[in-house]
Amino acid sequence: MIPIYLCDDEESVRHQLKTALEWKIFMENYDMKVVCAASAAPELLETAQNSRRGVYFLDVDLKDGAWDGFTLGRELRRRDPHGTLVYITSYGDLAWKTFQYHLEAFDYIVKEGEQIGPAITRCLEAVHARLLDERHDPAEMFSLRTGDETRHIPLTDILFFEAAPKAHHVYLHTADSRLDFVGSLNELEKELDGRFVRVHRSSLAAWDKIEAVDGKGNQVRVGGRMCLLSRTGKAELKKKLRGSV
Amino acid sequence: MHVPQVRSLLLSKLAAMGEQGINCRLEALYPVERVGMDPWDFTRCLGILLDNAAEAALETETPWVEIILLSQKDRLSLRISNPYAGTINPDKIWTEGFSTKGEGRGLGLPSYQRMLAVYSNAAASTSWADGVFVQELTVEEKA
Repeated sequence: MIPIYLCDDEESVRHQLKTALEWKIFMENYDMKVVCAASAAPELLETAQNSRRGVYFLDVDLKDGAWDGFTLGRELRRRDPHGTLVYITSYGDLAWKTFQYHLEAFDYIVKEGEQIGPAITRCLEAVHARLLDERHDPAEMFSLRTGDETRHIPLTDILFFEAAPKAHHVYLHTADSRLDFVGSLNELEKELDGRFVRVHRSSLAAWDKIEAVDGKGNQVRVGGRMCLLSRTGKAELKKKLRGSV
Repeated sequence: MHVPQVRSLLLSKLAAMGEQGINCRLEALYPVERVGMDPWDFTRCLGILLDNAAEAALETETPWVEIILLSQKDRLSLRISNPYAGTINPDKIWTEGFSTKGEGRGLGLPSYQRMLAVYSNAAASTSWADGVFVQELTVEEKA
């Protein structure tokens, strides 16, 4: 059962939300339940303490001491990394992209006039569809932490890791990105155990993405990208190649 | 926006981009009070990223640039995105003097990278999926 949580300080909004959600769940026979309709952040956090993969409908304009819509979302995201966040706003123009990028917020609903029911219903449908989708595709993720934000990169997207010019920083390369984070190649090598090969002191390449060693032999092509190769790295590759045949 | 250098650079770049017909969006959920590094260095980084973004965006049919600044108690995040035409060569964009536009160019990203090299509390990520180029800079507040 997927737990649904609401937080809005306006009673009438809370009531509308709860009714619309419960009606939709009943009609569609979703495996979901509204377990909490809180008026303030502490109440929600208390109830949602051990919630996993919950769906959270939060008022963006929440003003509640230390908590606003963003900080509440951040705390929920920290506790429930795979949860779904939906925001309720009274203004059309909120800093939506900030919520999307930093909290992976799923959607937002504008409470225009008195009727938010239809928007809630459509949103719940979309959430439900996405949760079904995810169940079919449990891709293995690499978690990249910067401060208290975590980004999940499908392991199969990673081409290679490279030591950045800055101490303790590592670049993660995919076909369409280069991500900078604090880490160490030695630790990554251990953590990723066997699926990545240390082809150079400063590079760790995905074993199944290695395509060719280039002419002069000091570079290796990984998923179309060039990556440094050392003599020890070459020996390592040969050893691994023999092992896999 | 309480850091004067950052504010004036943003204002002038936004105005210039507007004049060039670039659709700009700026989000700053919380006021930016500190940048976690020398404000002039941060401003130069911001300038390089905005110039690059504007230039690339102008090569597309509907140019836009999106700037997201998020100031939290222990960190500042900057995210600049723009559409681009053509292809990105990820093995080369960080190389001094590499440019698709001839000589005396291609200095922006290398000097951005060089400037950040002394800041172990800064992390700069880049992505170019689906025709949108994104530069992200996160600066942790030193304890």
